[in-house]
Amino acid sequence: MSDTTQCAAIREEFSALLDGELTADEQAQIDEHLLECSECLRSLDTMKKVMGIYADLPHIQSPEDLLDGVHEELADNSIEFERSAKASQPVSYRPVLIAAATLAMMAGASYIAVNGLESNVEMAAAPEAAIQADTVTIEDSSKSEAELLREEAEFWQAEEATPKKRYKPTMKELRQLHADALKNSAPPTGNAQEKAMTNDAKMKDMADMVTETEIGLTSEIIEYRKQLKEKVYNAYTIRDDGLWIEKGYSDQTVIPLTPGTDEYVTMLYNKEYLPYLTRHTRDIIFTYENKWYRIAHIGPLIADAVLGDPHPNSRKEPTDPPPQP
Amino acid sequence: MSSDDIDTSVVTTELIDADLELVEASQAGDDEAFDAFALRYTDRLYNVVYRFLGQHEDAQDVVQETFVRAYRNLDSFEGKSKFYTWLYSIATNLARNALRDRGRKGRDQGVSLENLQDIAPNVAQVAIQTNTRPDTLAAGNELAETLQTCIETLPKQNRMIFVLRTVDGLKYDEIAAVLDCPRGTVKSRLNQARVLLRDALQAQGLV
Repeated sequence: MSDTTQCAAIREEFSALLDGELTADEQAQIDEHLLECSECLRSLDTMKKVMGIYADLPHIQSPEDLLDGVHEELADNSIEFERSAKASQPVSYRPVLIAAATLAMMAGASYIAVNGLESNVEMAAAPEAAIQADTVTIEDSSKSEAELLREEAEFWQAEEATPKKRYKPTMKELRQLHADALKNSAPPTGNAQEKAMTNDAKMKDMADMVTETEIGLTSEIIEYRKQLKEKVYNAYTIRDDGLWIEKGYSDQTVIPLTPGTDEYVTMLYNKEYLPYLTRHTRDIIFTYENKWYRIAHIGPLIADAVLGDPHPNSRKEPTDPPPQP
Repeated sequence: MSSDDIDTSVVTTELIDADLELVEASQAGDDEAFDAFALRYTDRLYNVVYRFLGQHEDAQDVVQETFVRAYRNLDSFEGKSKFYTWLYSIATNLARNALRDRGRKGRDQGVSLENLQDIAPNVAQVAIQTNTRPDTLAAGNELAETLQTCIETLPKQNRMIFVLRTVDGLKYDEIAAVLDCPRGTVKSRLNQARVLLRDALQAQGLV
């Protein structure tokens, strides 16, 4: 190896040498060369200076609100409303469980029907007929199907036009909700032996668990929730192991919601959409002893109770002020 | 030792263990644990990304997006690598994407060694021309501005390695893990970067 080639090879190691990333043998080899090569020694000295200059590069403090931006981003995009309804068909919805679950949490509703998994929600006149046929029926004699479809289309147009028009909880609210939920996040335990608890006192306690003072609830939503709760109590019996039984119908699978999951996190937002979505959905999100659960594929009794739309303004669009230009 | 006592300025075994605890808690749904973890790395990531991109606004966007993606993909982290490595991988990929996107938008055509002299023939002129960075100028830190400008002359693949090593102090193996490349590549590219910087600084009369 010529001197020049050897010097070039040695100098390629300078960076690693100064970083302490060479083996003892590699380092010894360089040391030996440097004893005889003043050019390489000067080159090493220059490299040291360069590294010394950059080592003093000032540390920059990150913006104080940087993590707030993260929280806002997570809140903004945590809900994805999906629409599959086609104007030429009866009202049909793809699963919107997460969105509805969000509504449930933010509205503080103890029992809320949500989500129509793969189900069509069709217009019909008589709830009784729907129960017999095991289908879900919406009765709304005041509006024609065409009107309802138009309203729905308008709703989603407005939604798509202003995708950010959503409730943004503050970090304080978010953390408090999560902290509260974490304390009580254990799933239901026990076997599936039926221990029906039908006494009214227990039911009343559960009804009282949810306060009326949640953040930002309007009086309309509170009233809607009360009516909904009563109807759910009449249709379900709860057991000690957390399993609920629809009275006179069938057992239901109860799915505990795990804090930290997407499903759970997204439960924290968008209370405004509660009346609109619950009118069209078929799962139940509920609290029992401060834990949150979901019942999928609810039966017609509950569906009827919920889809009866006791709240006259349930199709109102959210009333957030428009975003500033 | 509580997590508050841990030196987070460098990667240590203690820090990695503490990270793992926070990550596991985050995966179990503890958002405060995730916040604590994010706080631990915010400044470090910000400095790395800022030095790579040279713009505060972009750096903030990248770091925020890094944590957003990390949060959303917590469940996919299986502990096969160190969590900070995973986090840095996200950040470096996003930073490189940001640089690419910026180039596409014409906001940043890059600074070449050839035109560095034209752009910044001396330190004083750099200070004038880089008036868009009032934070450092206010402190009278023209040298820092020059050094940053020189970093931005580096090719992207060398630049990120240089920043991870110089700004964050990662070891070669750690950089290789973050960038998913051989250790030898880290070593050679880092040396190339320093040689280029040496030439740039010599042209400025700084070494």
